[in-house]
Amino acid sequence: MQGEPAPGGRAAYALPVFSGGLGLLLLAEASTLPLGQDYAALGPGFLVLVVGLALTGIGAALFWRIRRGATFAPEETEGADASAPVSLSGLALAGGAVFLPVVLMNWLGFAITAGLAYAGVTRAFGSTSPLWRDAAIGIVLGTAVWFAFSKLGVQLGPYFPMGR
Amino acid sequence: MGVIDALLQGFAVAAQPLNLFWALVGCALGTAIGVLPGIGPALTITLLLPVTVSLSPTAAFIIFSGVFYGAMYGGSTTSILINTPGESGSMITALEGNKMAKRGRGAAALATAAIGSFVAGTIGTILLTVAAPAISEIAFLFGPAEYFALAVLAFTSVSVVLGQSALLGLMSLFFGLGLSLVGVDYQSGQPRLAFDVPQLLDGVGMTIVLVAMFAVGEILYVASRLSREPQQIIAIDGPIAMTREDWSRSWKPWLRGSLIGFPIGVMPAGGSEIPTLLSYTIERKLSKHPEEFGHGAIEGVAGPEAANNAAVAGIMVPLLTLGLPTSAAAAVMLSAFQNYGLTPGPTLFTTNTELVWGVIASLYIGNLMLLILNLPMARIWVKLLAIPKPHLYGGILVFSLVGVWGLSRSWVDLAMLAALGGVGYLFRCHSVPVAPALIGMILGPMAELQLRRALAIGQGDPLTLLASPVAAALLLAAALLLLIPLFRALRPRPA
Repeated sequence: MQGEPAPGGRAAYALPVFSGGLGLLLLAEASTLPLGQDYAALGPGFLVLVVGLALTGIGAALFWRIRRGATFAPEETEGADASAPVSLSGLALAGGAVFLPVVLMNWLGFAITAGLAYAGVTRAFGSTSPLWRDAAIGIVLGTAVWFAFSKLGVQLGPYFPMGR
Repeated sequence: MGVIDALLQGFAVAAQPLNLFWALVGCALGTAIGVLPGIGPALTITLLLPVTVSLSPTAAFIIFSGVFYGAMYGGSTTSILINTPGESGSMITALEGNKMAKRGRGAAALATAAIGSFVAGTIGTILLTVAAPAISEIAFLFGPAEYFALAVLAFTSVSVVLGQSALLGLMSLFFGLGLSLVGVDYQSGQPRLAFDVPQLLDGVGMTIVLVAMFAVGEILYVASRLSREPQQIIAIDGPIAMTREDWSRSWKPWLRGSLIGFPIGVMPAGGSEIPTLLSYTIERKLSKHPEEFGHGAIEGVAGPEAANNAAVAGIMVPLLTLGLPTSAAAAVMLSAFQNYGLTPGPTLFTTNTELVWGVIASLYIGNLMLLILNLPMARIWVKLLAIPKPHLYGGILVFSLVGVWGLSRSWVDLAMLAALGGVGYLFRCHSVPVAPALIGMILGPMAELQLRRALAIGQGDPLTLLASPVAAALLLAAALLLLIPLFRALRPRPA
């Protein structure tokens, strides 16, 4: 918790920005909602206000603590090296793979989109086989999953909708 | 109907061939995901939700509890053989178990972990059988004020106890509470935090949040900090068994671990980290061979593994009797109950006897299955680790997309998945615990409903919240918990 400010310790400021930003957003919303209600004592805005105040307060407290040198260590998890420098290319590739379906899903359907996202993740995790091979594996997997889950009653849309 | 009769009836349900099959599916799946990195019981149950809609609730919950128990067994195998705990409750096992494996005692470590898990799981389930109906009777006395106080206690304890800093836990909690507010307010019909997006009027789905925070967050995090070290799996020679000395050094830690794990699991935010740590500390104090601790002491595996599994049984108590989840996986199970239109709580024991007792009986059967699946077959499960990482995580993303896209085939859901996945990444970068967010999200609506009810009954007087001694005591406990980190912060720091 406390200790030497880690190199790149400024990244910790993302926490107060996140908490405080969300808090302000909730406070703005609370200002448009009634706080009380005649028969029920509490209106829809009450809890929005409470959570908004809490998140803003926590954001301020975190900012103050980080300024005084508090650092929050990254999580130790299987397969990750918490002390390794952050690989921006790995992060960007994986992020792209996660974002891809938002754009492509309605156009290409589940099987192909999932296959491409799969290929993106394999790249991000340093796959050494050619991209076309990972993409092919992904599309085969996506197709198999599409058929299997459709059989199980999970609606995953038409196989190839092309923007419908 | 007595507990014994009810349990026998439960065994009649659980022993039906199809239900036995589902228990086996759940246990095998649970063991597999316990072994595999990047995927834990909470995420697995979430991803199973769409598949299980066509099953009866009894069958679904038999699978879920098999996954829940099985993950604890699988996690210990990887802790011992490659020093990577598959889930947080196995962290302590990795300390001693891996040292034992390095000294060529891997087989004994695996055996004491599996048999200890079985002993503790069975003791825990017996305690659950006895305690749950009794606690559910008490719960009949709970009114809105008591339920609100209970939720507040769960909120504060889960935030303060988990993670390295209470501030981060509280941030996670309030983030979850904020998410639970999105959508149309059920009482006034007014949209909150929906920002004129029609898809947000129904609120943010629990499935999306879970898949995003667990699967997507993990994928992004591991991709950004990929470990270049090759994994070293320690080979085990000979059968997985224990010597006479191992038995005599293990049985007491098993029993002590069970008795530590269960009550802590029952408490709000007990979880499985604290009992394992506590059991480890106690075993080190009591051991006749304290010098072996840190170099592979069998007591250090036996006790924490038992505590771990007993805690899981304990977690089922507040979940079934009060509808109160105290861990991430329990929060998912609660949302599964809600999907089936069931409300866990005292009435569940009277209205759904077949479900409740069928699931409890299947826990006994599942434990036996897990012992058989894990003791002779540990080597087979380890082979799962041969799946190359790129393809493992790629597969996790594909199944995550099934879970989210299958909900309503909306691109807004996919956008939320990506955005909340980013939040999951941020949380991991600074060790912000995820469980408080999930518990805030799932209990938030309940807390708000009960608060409004209590205040409406008390005609708006906030003191009605403290009028009953039970509610007052619960709120006091919650307030005291919040003071702990404050004292910790004010205490003079060691130089």
